[in-house]
Amino acid sequence: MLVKEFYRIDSKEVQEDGSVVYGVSLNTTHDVYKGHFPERPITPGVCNIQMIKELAEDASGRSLTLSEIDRCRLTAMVTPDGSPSLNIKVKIDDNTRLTATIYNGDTTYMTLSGTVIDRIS
Amino acid sequence: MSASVMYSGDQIKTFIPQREPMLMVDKLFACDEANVETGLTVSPANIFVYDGGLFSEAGVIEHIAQSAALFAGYNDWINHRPIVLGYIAEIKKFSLAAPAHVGDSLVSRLSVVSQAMNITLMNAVTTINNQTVATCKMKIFMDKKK
Repeated sequence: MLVKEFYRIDSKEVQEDGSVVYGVSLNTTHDVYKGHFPERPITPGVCNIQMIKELAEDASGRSLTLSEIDRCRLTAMVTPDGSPSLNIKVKIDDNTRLTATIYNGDTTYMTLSGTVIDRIS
Repeated sequence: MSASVMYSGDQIKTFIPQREPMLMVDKLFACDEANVETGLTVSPANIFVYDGGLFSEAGVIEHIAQSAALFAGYNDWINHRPIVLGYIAEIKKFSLAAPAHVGDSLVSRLSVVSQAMNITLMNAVTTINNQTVATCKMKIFMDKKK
């Protein structure tokens, strides 16, 4: 995990179509919320993207770079108070095509489609 | 080439609501009604830096998003309007051409593609030493009822 102790993985289920669904809990007292934003904690969209990448790494067993995002839509706001538990579904096709959704029940927070490659450092 | 620095460091906090450890712009080079040029020097303490010094693409994207916030906030400030919170609504066609690292100075140029209601679509190009490292289109939602 890059941003230390930002979240915790509670569950992991591999689906028949090869996608993997994770249950995660946000660390609601993380320092990130001191700056995003003071007096109004909102989970930064890029932290959602970073979680997706790290779970894609867990699912694939590879270190990855998210080299392209075709489209990433933030359809509902993730907040540590309002949505501390999230489901994150990731699927990698042909070792490189990533699709991911962050949701909980009927609420979809983020959808992302993009390209991952072995991490370039 | 970049113009000289208009504002840097803590001065940037006049224009955007983000604070440490989520502050991902540290220079404003130029800004008008349709364009902005910003900078970020990646410090070792940046929360998006991996062991070994790689700056995560998430950090690059947040730098671009906060460049859009700086564009909006600077224009609000010179027009005596309050600074509002802005959120990423959508990212399209992001492409990472080269990785950034600790010590690199990112320079981002954003221009308005379209503006409607509280949504601004901007085109972004981020460079290091005049080499393109990332490009994208980003829709920012400005929460004007803050």
